[in-house]
Amino acid sequence: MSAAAETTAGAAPGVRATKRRRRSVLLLATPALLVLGLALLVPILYLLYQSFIVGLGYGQLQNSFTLSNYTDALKDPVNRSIAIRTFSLAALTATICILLGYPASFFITFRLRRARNLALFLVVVSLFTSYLVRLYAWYTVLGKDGLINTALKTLHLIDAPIGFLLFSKWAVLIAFVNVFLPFTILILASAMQSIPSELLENSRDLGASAFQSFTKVVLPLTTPGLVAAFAYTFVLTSGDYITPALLGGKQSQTLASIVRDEFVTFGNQPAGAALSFLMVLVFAVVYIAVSQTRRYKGL
Amino acid sequence: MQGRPEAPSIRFTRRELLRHAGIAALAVGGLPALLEACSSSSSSSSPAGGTSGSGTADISGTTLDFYSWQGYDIPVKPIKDWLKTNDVTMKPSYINTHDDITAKFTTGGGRGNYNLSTYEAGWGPLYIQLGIPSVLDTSKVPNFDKAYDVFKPGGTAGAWFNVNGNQYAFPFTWGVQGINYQADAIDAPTSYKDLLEPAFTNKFGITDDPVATTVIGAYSLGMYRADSLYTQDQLDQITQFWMQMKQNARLIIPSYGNMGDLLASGEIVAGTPGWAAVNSFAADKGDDNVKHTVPKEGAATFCDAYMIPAEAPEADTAYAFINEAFTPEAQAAEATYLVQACVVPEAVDMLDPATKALYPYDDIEQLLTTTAPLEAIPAQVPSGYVNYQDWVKAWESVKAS
Repeated sequence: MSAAAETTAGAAPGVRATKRRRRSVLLLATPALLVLGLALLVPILYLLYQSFIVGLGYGQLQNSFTLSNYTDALKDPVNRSIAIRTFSLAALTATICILLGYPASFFITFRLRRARNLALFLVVVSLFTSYLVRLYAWYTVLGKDGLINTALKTLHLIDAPIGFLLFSKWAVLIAFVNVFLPFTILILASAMQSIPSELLENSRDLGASAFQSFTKVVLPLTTPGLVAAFAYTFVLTSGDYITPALLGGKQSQTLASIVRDEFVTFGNQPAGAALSFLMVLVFAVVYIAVSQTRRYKGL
Repeated sequence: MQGRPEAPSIRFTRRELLRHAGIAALAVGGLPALLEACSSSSSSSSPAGGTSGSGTADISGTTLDFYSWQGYDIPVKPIKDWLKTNDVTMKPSYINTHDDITAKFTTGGGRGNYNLSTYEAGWGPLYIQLGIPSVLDTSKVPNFDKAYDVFKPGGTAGAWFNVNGNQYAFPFTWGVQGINYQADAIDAPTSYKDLLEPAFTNKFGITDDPVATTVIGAYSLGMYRADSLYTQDQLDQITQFWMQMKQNARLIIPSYGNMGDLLASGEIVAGTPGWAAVNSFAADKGDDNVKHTVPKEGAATFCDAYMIPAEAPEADTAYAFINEAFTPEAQAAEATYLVQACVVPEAVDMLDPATKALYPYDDIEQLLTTTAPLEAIPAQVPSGYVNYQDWVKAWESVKAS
């Protein structure tokens, strides 16, 4: 047998193995792709289509192309003021979660080497309680007869209960941070755990200070995690209308509640769909903007 | 009372409806489906399915797929006993707002999946136009004969449910929506405008209910109309009124159930639009001092009725339940449980004095005709008037302010 023939004969099983691997991967991925395609992509595409047709209300549609669902949503002054309220609160929540979550994740990952898993478990434990229960729990903390007011009265620091603790945008902010901080910590801790410890040791061996190691090694390598955590919190807070409704007091309306009104109250899916896609557009812009931060200062 | 509004003109003509059904049917499966669509359209004015006449059908082992407010499934004796005796399973799904019903039976996949639901009087014309309720066979609900005349066909309230000789729903409960208040903390407010006083600053809540707020706003400003035909200028005045109220309020209350919690916990001392049932929600939290009052300006009034949605499965089970719901015992239980008014005189005698005193049973006709008549939902209105969507938009602007 010639050398060339040997090479060809040897490659054939390799090619077959590669093909088999590809088929296996495809087979394994098919269920997930089907679920994503049928349960997510198809409805989203249908919603996108609906956003460009005429809604007559109460579920009745007219199949003629229009951009008015988008232009009406953008022109509505109520939508604009609520959008500012919704997105500014979401950005503030995401920023606070990052500011609180980053040092906590750093401490858990790099300082609690043995107790790391226990600490992460404790972070996850807070998610075991139902979302609504946790929201109502804030009544017992921030309410007129809640823990804070009772403590302040006991200490003779106030005569009458402070009313603005509950039913205000601050109450919503506190509840949002409480709900999303564990997710932020998990995302950031995951990003930090992927940093090889040798990198940190090498940077110290090469004379970097602890601060320099942090800014030149840890921070750049965790930027994707930071972006993901910020985007995750921003998107989910923007879409939440239960927390503002229960804790927001007079400022309880959000863009999501307006979307709900369009779909449920008016039966105007095209208007609701257009507003939803405008929100998605904002999410995309925010994500891209936050992602660009890594371009600065060597991040 | 202003003349009862005519049913709004049908948005889709019958021909258009058939055309749309035809296109859809051809798209999904061809001629058999088209024939089915046509036949269901043509039989839309006949009573909902089930056995004919007043014969008793075998409903053992069947299910009531219920879609409406919590409590309207009357989860207490004697209905619980009736369900057990007849081996009927109640599968309730509860709504948060009346709009959930509209959405469920127009776009939300409810058609053909539920056999029992309800609608409030004012929604009747729109629902009939949208084909949501089926025409009912009155012979299958003989107990409805026990109701006050005002709720029967030809009665002031009954006219909302019997249109052109077709019975679309059976009214089983009604009530008024004024102000709930914490009787331990304050005297009953006599006017909605009392809530604008400094004494109420940051001490009361406004319920997130665009219909009741519009009606109460109209009452407060002396411009109430039972036909709900308001001009844009009048709606603007109502909006301004609620913006003023909101400035003095502590919060927008997301639901009536939540109002019970807030009153019981002392976070607020009053809430409007109210609902007598909030008294029992608060009592469930251990506070028996939450009361309901109707201020001097008037109150939003509601009357809810059981309907069997079009294309409902096991309609006989729904008929049997509805018939049972009009027994005096079930009516008294419902009125007590929901703190609402019943529609059967015999049931009134079974109520405890406190529950009985909540509603003027001796003068129902006067109340529902002139004092607090049922109001229309302005789904479609003549030119120059605002419609329901305008009401909701106006309410959204109050919430956004």
